[in-house]
Amino acid sequence: MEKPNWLLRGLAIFLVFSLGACSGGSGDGEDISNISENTDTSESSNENTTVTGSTAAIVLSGSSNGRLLASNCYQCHGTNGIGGFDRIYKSNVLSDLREFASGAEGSGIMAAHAQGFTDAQMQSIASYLANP
Amino acid sequence: MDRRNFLSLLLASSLGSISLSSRLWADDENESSAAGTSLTAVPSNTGLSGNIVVVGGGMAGNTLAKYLRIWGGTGVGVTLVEKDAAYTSNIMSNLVLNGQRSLDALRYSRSTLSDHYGVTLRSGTVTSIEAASNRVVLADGSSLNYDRLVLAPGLTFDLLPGMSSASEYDTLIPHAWQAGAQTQLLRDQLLAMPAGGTVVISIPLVPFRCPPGPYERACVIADWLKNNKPGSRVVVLDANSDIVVERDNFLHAFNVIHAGVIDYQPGSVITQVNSVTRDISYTQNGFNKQISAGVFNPIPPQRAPELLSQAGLLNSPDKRFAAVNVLNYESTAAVGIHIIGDASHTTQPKAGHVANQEAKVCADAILRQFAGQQPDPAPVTNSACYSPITATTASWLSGVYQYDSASASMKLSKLAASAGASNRNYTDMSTWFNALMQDSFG
Repeated sequence: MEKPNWLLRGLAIFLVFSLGACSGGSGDGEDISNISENTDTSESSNENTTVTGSTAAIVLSGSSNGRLLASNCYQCHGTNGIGGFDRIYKSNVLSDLREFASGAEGSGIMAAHAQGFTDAQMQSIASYLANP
Repeated sequence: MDRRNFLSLLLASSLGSISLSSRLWADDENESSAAGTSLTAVPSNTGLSGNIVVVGGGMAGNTLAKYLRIWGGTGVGVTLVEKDAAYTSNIMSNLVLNGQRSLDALRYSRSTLSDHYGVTLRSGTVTSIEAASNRVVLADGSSLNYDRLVLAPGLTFDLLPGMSSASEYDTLIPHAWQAGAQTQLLRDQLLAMPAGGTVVISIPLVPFRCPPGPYERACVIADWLKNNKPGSRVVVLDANSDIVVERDNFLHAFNVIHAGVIDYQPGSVITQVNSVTRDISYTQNGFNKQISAGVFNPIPPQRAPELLSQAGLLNSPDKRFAAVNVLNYESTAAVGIHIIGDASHTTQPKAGHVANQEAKVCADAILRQFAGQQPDPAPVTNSACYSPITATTASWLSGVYQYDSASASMKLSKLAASAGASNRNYTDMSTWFNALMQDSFG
């Protein structure tokens, strides 16, 4: 059974937190330039319309490098990495993935998943999730 | 890692109490609720166009439709044909049997698919596939043309020897392997069974939907019987020669956790059933045996629906399922027709979580084809499943599959199971389930 050493980890993170270091990620805000790029007019004759009803709709950048690989994460972490176990949307997850893959994080389900991917695949996933 | 959980850990410790975290890695807030999740916009600038018809709106079909739109854009027309007004989740439906969940709460609407993602929903049934004309015909006589057709129709269930009609599953001996009214019937039968009764569950030969499912069901029912119908037992007649997944976990559950309640009988082949008296004849290791059930839950042998047989698509070795190219899920018997989910024949298990990933691989491949490109040459898929073992504990199973070009199949790169059942796994099970359903239907 996995027993994360939460006390030591919590202490380490407390130090990091109190020193003001960001634990990674490029920030939580939306990239405005992507939004303006996607409000063009399209001559599509298709009659399907899109209703982006939510004011906080996620706009993907359109990059497909690593996109399919990263989609393996969404069944547990939610579409695009929002809504499930730890949020991984616009996050830098490479070092975490590598830690899980190395066995340093015990033998829970996330370690089991990470260990099924190659390092190159993890780099691709992390790169995509950092800028989806 | 997750700043939110560390913050709550810090707050907890500053208050002088630290809850030994079963939630350290789990999300405390229910972020997966629809209200808190931002939906993905359908882009209008991909330059892609095409018309796809999807048959079946379950885990595979719904995920496929959604991802075709969010990755393909407004130029990719998607029409989904489905006969049921809403989807009832098979996953977690075993918890209806012990009263922990309601069937209502397991229903998922497709309104987000249509209203937000712009998928056209057609209520109806496809009665024939006219591949030469690139169209499907519906029961009402209308037809739908397509550039690519994706079939995600799920399964049908064989009759057992001695049965004369599938309606016996609806009224007498529910299989409840397609969540819905039969699940409720099975629950009602368990409630009505006198204490000291025998519940018989039969398991067909592989392949069947949800490999851990039958064993998990035996556990959930046994656990409930101990508390509600003392002296009752669960007899598991497994046609397979051994437990097919999570052998250590389920053997421990059968022999230790539910000792004295579960009687596991591998290598048991049913030869005759009477659905009214619930008398069951079977052979085991050459011996003829009989058992009378208070409640009989047969999980029947399964196959892809007749529609696919008529279309000449069921070319697996046993002719029950549709063999596909796992780079794009195109039928190996027909160009332009893809089959995903339980109806397909691959090395992957039949399960909702992996069907969701098959749908993504298929969507990506179709969009590449629209762009004049080849499919991704190295797709990866994954399967994960949490199984309740009692009302408060669960185990998990996980697999990652890599494409192996030598065999042109998905090969396991990592298979793992939890070291037993735990309360934490039970909590994580809900997080997983909500996330999976949000990704597939939200």
